[in-house]
Amino acid sequence: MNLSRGLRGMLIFSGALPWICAYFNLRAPWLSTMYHTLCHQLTERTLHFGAHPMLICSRCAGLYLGVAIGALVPLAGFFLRHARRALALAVGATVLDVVTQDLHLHAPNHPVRLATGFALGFVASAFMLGTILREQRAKQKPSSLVT
Amino acid sequence: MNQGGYGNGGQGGQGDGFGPPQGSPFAPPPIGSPGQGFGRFGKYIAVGGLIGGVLSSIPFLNLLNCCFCLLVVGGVAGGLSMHLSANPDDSLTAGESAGFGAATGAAAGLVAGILGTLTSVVFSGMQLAQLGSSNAPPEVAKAVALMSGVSLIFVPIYMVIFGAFGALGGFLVMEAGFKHRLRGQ
Repeated sequence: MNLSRGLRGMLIFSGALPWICAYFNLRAPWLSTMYHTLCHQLTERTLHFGAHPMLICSRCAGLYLGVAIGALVPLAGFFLRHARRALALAVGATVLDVVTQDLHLHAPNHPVRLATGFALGFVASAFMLGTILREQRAKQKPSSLVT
Repeated sequence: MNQGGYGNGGQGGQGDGFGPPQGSPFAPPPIGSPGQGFGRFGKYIAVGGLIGGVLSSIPFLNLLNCCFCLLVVGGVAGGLSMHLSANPDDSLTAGESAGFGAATGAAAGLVAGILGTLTSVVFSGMQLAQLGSSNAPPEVAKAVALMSGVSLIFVPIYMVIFGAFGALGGFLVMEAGFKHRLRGQ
């Protein structure tokens, strides 16, 4: 269980950090510099809290939020069995939005960027933790093959 | 997988072949079993971390990290594929692949953070030298020196963020590229 707890902690911390910074309006130059290598930080593609932009763009914000929430709600049962398809769908939707937006077929749309990023982050994170938890439960079960 | 008639090869030790039983002192160690420990990945974690960390420190190239920490995931994929090609009989569980990715990502974060700090110190030194010759106020020089020191804070944060995305990358790389080497699926 320690592995899944450690991973969950890492995912929640990483996913929540930019949102915590936005909520408490933490915009120190070093924080902005730190996220500069993780996100393009273009102003027109960034969500604003009041007058202040977030440290990362809206797609990254959705992705990070999805990663944190996916770590809190791992997939199980039916959803875990169909996680690969869900992941393919989330990747496809994100790529489609990136391509159509960068070809100037539509303007940057924050709700769409947020939603596609969230879907990708959530499915990846919840799929991984769900699989690891299922594996750990199977290991804990007494083997029915031993007589 | 039965390797050369040895039996109990690598897929969970179900007793599917010839050879001494699993519990026998003559039995070969179950390949890729948790008993071999996480230590078997050490060298490949270091190599993958170095690849991811160095690539993430190269200006402009590091913009690829904007896309799901692609360079970190690339380092994890490189380390994983090296491990799997060097150990053709080994197989990993989903947890091991995520753990491998997390450790490689954390190593990449450490390398990227240290290289970033060194770069920052060098550039700050150059700026301070320029400021010294132009008689700039000491507050400006102090701020420049402070910024280079502050970049040390990036190291632990990068280790956690890169570790998280490395874990996701390790798991997804195994799922997408090496599914036949995943144990317990």
